[in-house]
Amino acid sequence: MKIKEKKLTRSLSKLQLAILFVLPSIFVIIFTLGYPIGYGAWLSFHDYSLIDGKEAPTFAGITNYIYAVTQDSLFWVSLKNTLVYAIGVVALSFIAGFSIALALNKPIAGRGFWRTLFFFPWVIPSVVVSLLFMWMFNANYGIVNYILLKLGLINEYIGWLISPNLAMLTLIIITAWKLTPFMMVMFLAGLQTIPKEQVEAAIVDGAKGVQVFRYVTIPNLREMIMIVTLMGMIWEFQDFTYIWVITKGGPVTATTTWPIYIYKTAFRFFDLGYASSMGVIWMIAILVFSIFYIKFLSSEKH
Amino acid sequence: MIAKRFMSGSNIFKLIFLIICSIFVIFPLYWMLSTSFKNLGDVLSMPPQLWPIRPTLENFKRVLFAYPGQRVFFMTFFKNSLIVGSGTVIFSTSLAALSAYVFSRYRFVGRKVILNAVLIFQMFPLVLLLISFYAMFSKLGLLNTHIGLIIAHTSFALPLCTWMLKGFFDKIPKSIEEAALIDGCSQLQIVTKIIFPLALPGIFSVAVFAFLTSWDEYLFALTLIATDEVRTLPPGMVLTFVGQFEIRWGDMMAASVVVTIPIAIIFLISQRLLIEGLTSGAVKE
Repeated sequence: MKIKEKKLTRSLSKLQLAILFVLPSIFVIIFTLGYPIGYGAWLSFHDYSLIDGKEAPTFAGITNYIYAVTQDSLFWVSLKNTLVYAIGVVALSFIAGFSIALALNKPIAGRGFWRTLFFFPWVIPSVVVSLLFMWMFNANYGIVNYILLKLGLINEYIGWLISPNLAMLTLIIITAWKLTPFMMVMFLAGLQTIPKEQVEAAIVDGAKGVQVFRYVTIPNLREMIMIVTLMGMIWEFQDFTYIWVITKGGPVTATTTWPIYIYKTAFRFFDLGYASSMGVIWMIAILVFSIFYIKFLSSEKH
Repeated sequence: MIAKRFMSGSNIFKLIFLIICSIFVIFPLYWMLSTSFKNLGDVLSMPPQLWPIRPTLENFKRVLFAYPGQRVFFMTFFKNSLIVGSGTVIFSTSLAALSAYVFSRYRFVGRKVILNAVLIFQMFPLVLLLISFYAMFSKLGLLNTHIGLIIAHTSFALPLCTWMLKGFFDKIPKSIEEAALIDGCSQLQIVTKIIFPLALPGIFSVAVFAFLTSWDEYLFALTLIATDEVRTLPPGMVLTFVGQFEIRWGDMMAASVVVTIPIAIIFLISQRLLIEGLTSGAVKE
């Protein structure tokens, strides 16, 4: 009887402890993520344009949503830009990070040094990265133009960031420079967990290098690939710093992505209701995308 | 034997590949450093000077001590970033440590559920959050305050911090706890006297991560802070250097160097743990 009682208090205190430990985090999450999202969703059904002299939100039904989807061409342009940007950055950093990880997977001279070097850009502040590359890609005095000209790759100086055709590409390169280290360390960690026996067994069965890669390495990394590409997509959908610092969404609208467009709508044109409705559409879009992406990649297994 | 393994044909190919890749990392950093030591004229000289011919510290002096036309400048931004960063570290690390312990030890939710929750939190459009934060903070009087920014940064860092720390806690064997329980430790003592000290490296790496998150954050710092006295480094630097009629690249790079140095030091101390923390949640053990 006594033992039972003791067990009960102990397990109860264990549960209480758990609740006590999780409660502060839950409180913070509700206050800083739950409530704001709820408020934003509520606002999205309201007309709340400070520039029109609205002092309080007035209910507007789904007019904001209808306007975004049917009349606002910039909404669609910025969706296209967001997709180009996010997919471009993730693809480029995926390829670069994966290649470096493969080169560092087996013992090689100076492995620790290489890993440190290639990981370092990840911690450099985004604003510093933006300013640095703004300088390097400067049309008149930038070192990039100078080097490319010297190498004979271009005939004249290029306005990397001021040409509507090149600004997006340049931003993708800059952002990928910053994301590659993340991809590299994640893949390196993933590669390290592949059981040696599997590789050896495949070689014994007569598999060549490429086949080992295709049938042993890739399947083992499937989950890692899913996590990093999904995280990368979600992050780059969010990205604001590089674009806002370097191009402000320009020239004209060439690099205006959703975050930039929504920010401008809310904090330049003070149309909070409309900005919120675009934010909600974005959230639903990325949620649906993620669900399909996870489903697609997990079902491809067999 | 070892030498033979290092020098095999495929390794030489790999080394050449790595050296080429490293140029893309090293050169921009070198260019930042090189520009920061050039005077106004040399920065724009054509052809560019690979090495500063007349190296000078005037950019650093101007950036650190007295910037023309600015009442408050770099040191204030620097101090503000330190305050906000430290606050974020304290809040997010302690909150994450408590909840990560529960997620690691109580089997009511799986690894998948937590990973998905972390991913979903990351999906919330930051600009949408920002609109609500702005409205909420103006009601609560938190606009233009450090504490408001600390709250915002904590909410960004917390989900990933929890995920990272859970990975570290998972590595501490359960048998240690059971042994302590038999020895008469209370549940709370087990956590404070055994688990947290054992996970100290992990907690440290999460603290570094939280600091980096705050040190890097631009969007909220730009919008929720209105005056130079309270402003942090990222928006401070951009507002000082970008959008001027004539951009002073030398000053800009000098400021960039000063902002990056503390980060580089933290990085060199903690990179092993940071990598472990980032990957431990995602790798199947």
